[in-house]
Amino acid sequence: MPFVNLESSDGDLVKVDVDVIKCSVTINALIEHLGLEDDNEVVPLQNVGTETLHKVLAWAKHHKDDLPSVDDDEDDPPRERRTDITTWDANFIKMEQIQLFDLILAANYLDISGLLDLGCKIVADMIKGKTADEIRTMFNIVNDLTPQEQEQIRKENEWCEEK
Amino acid sequence: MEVGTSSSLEGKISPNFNSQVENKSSVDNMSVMSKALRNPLILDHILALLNLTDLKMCRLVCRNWAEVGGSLLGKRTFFPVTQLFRYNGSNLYQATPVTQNLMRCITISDKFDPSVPTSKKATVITKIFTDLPHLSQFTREIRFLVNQTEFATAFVNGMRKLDKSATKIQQIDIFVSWIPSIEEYPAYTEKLPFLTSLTSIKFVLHGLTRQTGVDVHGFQPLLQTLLDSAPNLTTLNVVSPYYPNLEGCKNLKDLDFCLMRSGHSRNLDMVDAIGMLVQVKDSLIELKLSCGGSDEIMAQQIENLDVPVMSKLTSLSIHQAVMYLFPDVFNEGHLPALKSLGLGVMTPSEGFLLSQHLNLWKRHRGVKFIDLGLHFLEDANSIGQQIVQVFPAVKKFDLWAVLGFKNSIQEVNEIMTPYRTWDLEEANFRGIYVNASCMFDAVLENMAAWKGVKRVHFEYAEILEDEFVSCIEDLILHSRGFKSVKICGDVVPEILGKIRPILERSGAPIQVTGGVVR
Repeated sequence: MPFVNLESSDGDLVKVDVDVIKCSVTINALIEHLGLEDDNEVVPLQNVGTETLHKVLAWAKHHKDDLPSVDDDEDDPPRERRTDITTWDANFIKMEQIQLFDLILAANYLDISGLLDLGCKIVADMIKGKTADEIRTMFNIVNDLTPQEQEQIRKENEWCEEK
Repeated sequence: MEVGTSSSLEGKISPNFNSQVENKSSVDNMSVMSKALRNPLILDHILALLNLTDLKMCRLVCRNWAEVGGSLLGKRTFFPVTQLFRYNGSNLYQATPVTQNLMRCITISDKFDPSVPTSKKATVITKIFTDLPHLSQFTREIRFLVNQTEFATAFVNGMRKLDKSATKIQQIDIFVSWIPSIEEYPAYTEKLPFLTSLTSIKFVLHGLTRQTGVDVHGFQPLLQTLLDSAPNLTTLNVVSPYYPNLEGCKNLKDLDFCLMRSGHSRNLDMVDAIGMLVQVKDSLIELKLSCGGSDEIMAQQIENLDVPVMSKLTSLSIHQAVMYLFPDVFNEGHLPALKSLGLGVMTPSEGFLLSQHLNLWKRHRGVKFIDLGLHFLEDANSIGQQIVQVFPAVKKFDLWAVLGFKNSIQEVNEIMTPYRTWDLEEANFRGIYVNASCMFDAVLENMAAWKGVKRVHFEYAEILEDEFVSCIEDLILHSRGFKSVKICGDVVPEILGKIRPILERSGAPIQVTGGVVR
């Protein structure tokens, strides 16, 4: 089956080469388990808007020949993960922050690890070097930690020794 | 939740996520953003990309971030639990609670809080296992840094009190820094109950036992007690003057054993070595044997050893190679599944001994990958000729050699010529300490005659700028057909600034990140 029809949360249908969207574990599983055998079948994506879907597909098309990444072993604790961003990806990810978070949500929902890595890397770069106050302000997060809890966390942080 | 798309939005979001909610776009922005950041999988993904300093800062943002960040921090750090305990004159107590996520990996060491008197220190080590509420359920990895026998005993006593049905301890690493004394360390008479979750042990004994002329057990009984309690052990890494008894380790797959010889030169006890391997012959997949602690070696040729057949062993690595040249072992009969072989020549006299011994090896057509390390180049040609004869089916070959001040082009030719006959798919060469540009050319010319995809990496190179520039065209010419040629060493940015444009214009696969100096 060379094509699949994806329906965005806005109700728009987008016809996609299966080979392009194979990077999505979610859609792959849907195709395999629902037995979509004809080109007119529709896969509804309730959590992905039309514009975000087009961005996802642009990324997927560019990366369709990438080698599959090796999954992290859960028992093999990660160090600080490092992902180099290619020039194409760097240009692709230049977008408004609402679109960036939409894209991250879509990548997470569709289970596209490469795209999720890329989006999260951008957010991580925004966090680097910031104080807790600055991070809260940046992301509009309410501090629900008591002063005692914060003091406890500070102590724990001091004690932890890098592996 | 309906996620807005930018097609329905006209407002622009401020670049630094200003929290003021002024219009629909800001509302949607915050909604999408908070939805993403409230998702634990996404937050985990983001925080995992941070260094420890930023990760620790993120734990102070809010309760959710503290939880997710704590989980990541617990995987990337050790928590020094010994320092948690205080003494108030009559009682030992835990000074502060610790979130369970940070108890995943713990360090037990001899660093105690100053309030703990010397007489109570061993008690603290035992209390770690009984009084810390999360240890049984959440600790996966214990690092034990020990320098006194009484602490080792306290550690074993603590392990004995663990809730065996609940414990999830998978890995125990023990590093012993020990000054030998006349004190003889007693073997434990009472065994530990089985720790079924324990799959990995590392034991590094730094204490040298023979310098004082007193042959004591060191902390070997501590290792043996743990080994005897770990029926599901799969990985064992030991640095010690003693061979452990692996009788209870029927599932051991990966064994890395370094015999730490001490004081005066000490022969390898072949019988003991074989005895250790016999115990795990049916399960072992990867085996690494090495020696340390003395430059002198005494090769032994002992006949009539009862050498085991190791039917599952696929990977074998031996450094110093000549120390473990068991007679009649490295053949298809004894190692039928062997695919990967690593040999290291670490001392000048070893090359000769290895080349002589290789004469005795029978052909092994299953070996597809060989990793050969040459600290010294004596008899390297003879070793090479033997190796290509004994292992005719090799497809991937990694060769690394120290090409120091004394070595000549002739020696490079002798090292590299034998491997032309192999029908390789991939070949990698690492040359250390190259200090003459003619050596680059010699390596590339020789390797050009090898088959397969070829990569060369010169590390710690030290070539004068004028010499390098005068030979750069030859280097470019000889690098044709190579996948990559890397040259590393001390960095002089101005020199790199001159060299790199020349190499980039040439299109040669050469990458210079250092090693060209004034």
